[in-house]
Amino acid sequence: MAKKEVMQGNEALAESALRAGCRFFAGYPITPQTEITEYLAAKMNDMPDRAFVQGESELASINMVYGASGSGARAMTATAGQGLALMAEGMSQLADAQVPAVIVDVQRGGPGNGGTAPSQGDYNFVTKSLGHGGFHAFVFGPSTVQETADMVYEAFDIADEYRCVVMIMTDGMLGHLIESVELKPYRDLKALPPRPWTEKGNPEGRKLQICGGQPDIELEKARRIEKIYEKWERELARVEHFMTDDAEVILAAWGTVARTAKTAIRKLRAEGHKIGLIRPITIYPFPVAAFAELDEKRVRHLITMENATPAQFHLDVKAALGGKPIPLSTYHRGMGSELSVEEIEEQLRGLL
Amino acid sequence: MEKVFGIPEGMNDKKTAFCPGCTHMTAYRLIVECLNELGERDNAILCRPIGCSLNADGSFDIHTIQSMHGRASAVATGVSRMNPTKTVMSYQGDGDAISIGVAETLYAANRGEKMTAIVINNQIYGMTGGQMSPTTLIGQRSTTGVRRADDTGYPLRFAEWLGQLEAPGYVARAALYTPKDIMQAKKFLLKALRCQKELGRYSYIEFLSFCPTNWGVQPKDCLKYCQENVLPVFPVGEFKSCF
Amino acid sequence: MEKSVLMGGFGGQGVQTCGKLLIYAANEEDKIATFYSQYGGAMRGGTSNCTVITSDEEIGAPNKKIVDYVVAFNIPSFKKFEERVAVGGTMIVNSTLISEDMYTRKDINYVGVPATQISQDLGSPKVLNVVILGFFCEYSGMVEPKVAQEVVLKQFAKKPQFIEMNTRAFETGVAEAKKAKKAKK
Repeated sequence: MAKKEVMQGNEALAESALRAGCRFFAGYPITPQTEITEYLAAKMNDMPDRAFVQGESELASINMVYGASGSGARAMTATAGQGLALMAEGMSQLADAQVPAVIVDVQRGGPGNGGTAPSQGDYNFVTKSLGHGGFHAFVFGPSTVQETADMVYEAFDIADEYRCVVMIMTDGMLGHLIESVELKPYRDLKALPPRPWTEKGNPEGRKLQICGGQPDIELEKARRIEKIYEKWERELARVEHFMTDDAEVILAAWGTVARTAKTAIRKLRAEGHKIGLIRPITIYPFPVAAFAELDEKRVRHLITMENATPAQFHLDVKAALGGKPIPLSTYHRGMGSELSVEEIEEQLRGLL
Repeated sequence: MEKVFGIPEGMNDKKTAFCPGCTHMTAYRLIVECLNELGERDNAILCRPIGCSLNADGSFDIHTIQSMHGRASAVATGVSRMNPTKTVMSYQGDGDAISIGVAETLYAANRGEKMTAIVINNQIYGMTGGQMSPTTLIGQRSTTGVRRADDTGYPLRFAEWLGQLEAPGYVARAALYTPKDIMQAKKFLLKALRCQKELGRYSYIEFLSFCPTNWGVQPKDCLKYCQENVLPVFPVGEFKSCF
Repeated sequence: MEKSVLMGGFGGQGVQTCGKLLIYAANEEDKIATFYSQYGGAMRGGTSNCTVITSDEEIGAPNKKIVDYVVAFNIPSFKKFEERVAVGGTMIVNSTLISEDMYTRKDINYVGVPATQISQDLGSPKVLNVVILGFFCEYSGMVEPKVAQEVVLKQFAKKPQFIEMNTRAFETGVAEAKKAKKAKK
């Protein structure tokens, strides 16, 4: 009997969310995330204390999630492309009212209707501000089906702990990729961390008041949230170093581009080239130190690659490098298809 | 001496920022009174919108969730699905429920969510200062123009529309004009809440309300203005009732 | 060691299922494996393809262009994917539909299995992909044929009337592969 199950990225994500204690999901069909919505539609309404709603739009869906989470339930939605744009208003409200939610963006091409092929073009939108007014979500950028499942499982805890939005940014490639995955156990809904701020008769004896925008407490709230962002940046950024110990040429990439690049890097390593990969696992908080601490005496070139136009992730790497005298370049293209291992290899060969 | 009228339990005498002649607080009062009578006030969650209704902050004691403009019925859907034993309400203005949030309001109704949508219809955007709303009357002035049928269309009779749907259990319109109107409004609201609580069905209730400031009508003249202009377009009554 | 196969055919020939059964079998053997299919609309009548990779270490690109094996269920996929076989790799063709005179490369091996004919002889064109799966597993050794066969039968646990047909389809595929391997020697 195999130890693992074989699952598609989208389905593994959906199943793992259920196991993490997701009690409410509202979503609207859009390629390439639809399998998440379909999977949960088939399961959730038959499970006690859980509910699935197909919203009339992404606008409605995100607000249903807000209502469900604000009144006590772990809640999630998943979308892509223009659906995420429609959710911006609701995500901003989640941030203002400090209501936790897990939001999945299975990226497709853009801008506008774009195409349904994989993309990393939502990077700036998601990491810089998910909506008006300015705020951060905690953003995971998985690169395997296993990581997708693990991250969504953890996302609900992070969302509850910090009362924030946690984003899982996959793309059409990872969403449709099938791999073996080991799923974590179902969590007992009754044993989930308490949410005193949603409960009737909360400690201050006040009635539930889920809202933001109260001027008298806004400044205090802003300071508190700033401290949370500082803590994330200080303690919670995650990064993978792949064959970087002695690397003279380093590629920086995230998500599916990073995993694809590993094949090229292994091949070039086998030929004796000192080449490695830095892969941010959380894309906000961004693993600044991984770049700031690079040894400029050893590393003679740093290249970023991403499936986006204009380059977006590249700017974070550039900022993290902080003016260190390491030549930095970018290879990126959006729309069309995923970056192929062949083109990544060709780009890397140009630097050897 | 016997006390026959006072502030209901769950409300206070805190000053609100509503304009003179506004009937928002009448609506809030009816909500609190009805919840008290049903023994549901501590078990109720009100999804509030953005708009003038925020001026009631701190004057009533009900669980609330603040919603974005137009989304209260979607928020209420999430609350209701996760809290099926609660009395879940949305409180929305006409612009909120019938313009920017028309999809959310309509679909919550069509799904038959276990909730009560309470819509304050005063034919104008109040908080932003008197712009045209989906219920602004033909010929009525607003800061974004005078409503003309050939250009801005007709006032939307949303209650009549929802009354056609299969899922809702109770759909009604009442006025918050005269004491008699208000007694009827309370009767309708009680039915709406009971329809939700006892039968687990969707209710929609529209309250015709005064907005003297933005109409440019003196509070003392509002009643006559409404009887002559509003009621012919927005008749009060029950459009669907499960009782 | 990483091994890769690209399968292509008409939508409705069971290409996707064939690839999925292969990755299920690889998982049963606790191998690391990926299955990737360019999504879009692979409806009945359209073209459909998928790439399966197995390995004993982490797999990077699940969609690499050059693969060890290509399995062509039909002519269009043969024409489209022949160039994607690695030098020294193998092109497996459904020889009922694809004849030897269509082969254009000298640096790869070609092997045929009359899968459409076999499935028709067995009485159901639906088992075409199972014939090919049996053939591919035996010929490539990418997964143990026995393990793959169990996976196939598990799919029909709730439809026992199909078990015998699929067993025969799989076993015929395996037998054909044994013959082909012997002929190669």
